[in-house]
Amino acid sequence: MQTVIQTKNLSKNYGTTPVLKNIDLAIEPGEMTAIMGPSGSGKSTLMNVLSTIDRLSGGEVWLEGKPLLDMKKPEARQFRQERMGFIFQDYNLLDTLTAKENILLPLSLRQFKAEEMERRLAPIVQALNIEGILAKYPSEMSGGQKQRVASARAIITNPAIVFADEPTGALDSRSATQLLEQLVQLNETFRTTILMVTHDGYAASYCKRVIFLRDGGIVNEIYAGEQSRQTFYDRILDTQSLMGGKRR
Amino acid sequence: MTLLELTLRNVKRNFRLYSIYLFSMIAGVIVQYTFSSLMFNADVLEALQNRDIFKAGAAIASVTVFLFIIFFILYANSFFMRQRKKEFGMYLLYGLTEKQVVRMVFYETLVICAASLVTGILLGGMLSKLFGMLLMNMMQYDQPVSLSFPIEAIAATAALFFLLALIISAQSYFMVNRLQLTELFHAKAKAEKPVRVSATLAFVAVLLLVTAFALIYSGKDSAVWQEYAAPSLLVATVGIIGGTYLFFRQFAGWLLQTMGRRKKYHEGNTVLWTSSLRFQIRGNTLNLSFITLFGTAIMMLMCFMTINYKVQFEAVGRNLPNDIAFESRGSETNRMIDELIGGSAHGIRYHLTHKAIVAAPVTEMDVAFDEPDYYTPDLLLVSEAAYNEAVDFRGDDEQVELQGNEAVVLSQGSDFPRMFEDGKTPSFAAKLGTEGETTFSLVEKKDYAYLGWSTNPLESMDIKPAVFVISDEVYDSLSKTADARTFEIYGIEDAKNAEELSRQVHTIVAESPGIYYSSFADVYSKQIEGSSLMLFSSGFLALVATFALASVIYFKQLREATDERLQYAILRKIGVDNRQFKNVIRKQLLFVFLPPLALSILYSWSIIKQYILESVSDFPELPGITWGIIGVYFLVYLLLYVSSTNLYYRIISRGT
Repeated sequence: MQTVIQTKNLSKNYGTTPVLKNIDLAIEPGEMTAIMGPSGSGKSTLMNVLSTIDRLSGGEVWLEGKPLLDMKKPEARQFRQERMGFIFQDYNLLDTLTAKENILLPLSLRQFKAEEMERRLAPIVQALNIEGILAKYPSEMSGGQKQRVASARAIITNPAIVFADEPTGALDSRSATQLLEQLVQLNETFRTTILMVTHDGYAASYCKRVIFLRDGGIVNEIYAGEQSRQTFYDRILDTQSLMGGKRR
Repeated sequence: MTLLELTLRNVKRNFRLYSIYLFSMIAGVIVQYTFSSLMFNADVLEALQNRDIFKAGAAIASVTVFLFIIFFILYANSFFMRQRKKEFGMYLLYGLTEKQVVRMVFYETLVICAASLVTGILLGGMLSKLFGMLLMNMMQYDQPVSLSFPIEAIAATAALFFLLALIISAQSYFMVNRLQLTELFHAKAKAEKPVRVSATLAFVAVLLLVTAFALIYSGKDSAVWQEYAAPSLLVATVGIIGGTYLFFRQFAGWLLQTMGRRKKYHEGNTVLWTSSLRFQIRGNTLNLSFITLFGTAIMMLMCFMTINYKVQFEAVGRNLPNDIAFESRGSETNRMIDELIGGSAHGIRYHLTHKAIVAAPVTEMDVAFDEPDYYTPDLLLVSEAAYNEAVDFRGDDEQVELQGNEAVVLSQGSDFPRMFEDGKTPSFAAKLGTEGETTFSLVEKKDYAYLGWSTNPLESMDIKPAVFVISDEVYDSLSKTADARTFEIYGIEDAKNAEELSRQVHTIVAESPGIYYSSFADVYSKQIEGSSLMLFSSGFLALVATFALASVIYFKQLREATDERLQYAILRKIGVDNRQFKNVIRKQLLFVFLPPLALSILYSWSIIKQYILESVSDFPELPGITWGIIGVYFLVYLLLYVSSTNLYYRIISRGT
């Protein structure tokens, strides 16, 4: 299987201010990775560049082996629409659509046939346990339910990678745990590649691999391996305080 | 910083919002000023024959125009105020009192009013020359209108707009007082669910509309309208208004729901353009019903007034077929009048002296006439020969040929002229003097007059003589014993401008009161000036009404697009491109725009076709004119649609 995202010497400046510096990164299919860092560390910018929303200033990025620099704008947009899924902190569900309509929207826009849509919907609905709310509007759902609907929308296109930007940021801890467990399940059942950006160690501990970012550069990277989630969580916290300690 | 400085800063910063509002105001001033300056324009007044009628008519029209201006400026202002809620809230939060905010808004209003007054009066002054010439042209007067700024008109417009400024400030005052500071801290949550629709009520909507159309198309001479005119009118009106309301509330909702249940609903962008419509139905219902009915009213008004104007030139001739006609009062006065007419600038084309027998009807008059109230209670019987002679001189081809006791009714203005079939001819009995009754067999009811409405130079049409044409043989035998009256009928040159002559002749004739007198000129100038003024005023009214309509549509789009900005930002994030945005917006707005247009064209055309064009079927150019007016409305509406979609697209693109 092809590497989903590969970067070499990736850098990004806003004017003369460097935001990302010489990032080398590879995301393999089926991986569930977290990018952690304090605010201002450049993690959101990194995600925007990787998801083609923002332009890079230097270095190189390959998406499924294709150099990003060679892609024209419509091409990049098409790649984003077909090969990437997004989960946002504030859900970004359309208020006027029911859960089902929201989930199917990416397929609707790509002129899928109704039967195919239903065929894809069924297993995802089951995995995320959202049968009961398919006919509801976002205003009638809880935050956790909204985020699960948003996750379903992100993976219904069978994307090569799902970008999750602080997916648990607006949720209470119970809903957050539930969502994270379901993301893990999606990752295991459908082998969905997930790249999560978070400042929350607890959310990061559900991933297989955590990349630490500070001042626009990768400063550390740890793997869960065979250790339990709790142990991994403690290691993340240790690493975080180590990095924070250096700074203070 | 003083309040005044703050005000000036506001205007500068919110210029876009202000410019929309300012534009509405200027448009209002232009219309108002153009109209009132014509009322006071010396050149226009000089050309008119009936100045007082004109002034009264123009005053009524300008009040109506002003009411419309108030309506649409208040609408614009309420939108403007709502957009600035947040701004006002901040002032209150930082310690300004409500009173100060209101005073600030009042200053702003004054500034805007003053600016639009100056601009509007300058532009309106130029337009008034143009419109004055148009009016003169419509009245067929050859009078140049010079550019002028009558001080009365400026004062009147300024006074009205000061009044408007007060009304606007009152509106703003209520708005500021109702402002809740807590609103500042809560983002508006869209918690409402789509309106509940029922298939039954959607069906009722269609049923109401079908009933109304069935009634309209049954035609005015059908049994329902003849026998039950008032209930039919009520049912048709309720059908149209209620049907329109339910159409937008229930039928549109039902349609969206049905679309949503289709299996293929999720394919393509149908989901996108229908989904927000589901939520808008509640807010759209009144707006769209208003637009539909208002559009219908505008089109009907314009069509009716144009047809009225077009028909007027001919109609006066039909109502008053004789240039001058009066009942003879003896040879002495006849000679005087004959000399008067012969000596005037108007040459005599023909002069007839005819006799008619007077009879008292025994049968009910409504057997013969549609509207007996318009006619004298006694009957005049004219011989076939006399009648045909008059028709020949007029150059018409309405001659008759009668035998025995056959008679033709002259029911000019009748909507239902007809030949009566053999065996179904109504009989009509009349008493002649001391003799017994004579019974006539009515073979035809003609939309034609032998003697027109009686008139006098001051008031126009009063009452008209009821006339039967009878066969020469019966006339000869009856005339031996019955009473008869003699009528002098003149055809003259340039009858349109014979008001002065008519006045002189009338003075002589009117020496014996109650005697029949009828003159074409008495009515012609009044009717033409009157109908021109009516058409002209309706044109203005339609213009302002269209402004009002456009502002309702425009502000509605502005508000909705602003509300939807976030939604479109989300769509952009999940990869929807501009082309698809445009497509979705176009479809969504078409669903909103098309039904009101289609319904209002359908309503106005049906009503005008069935009830107006049918009555004037002998004017072949009128259906074309009607379609022309509908076409103009269609174009204006199309323009609104296109600019609304552009505006919508611009707003939702700006937000991302």
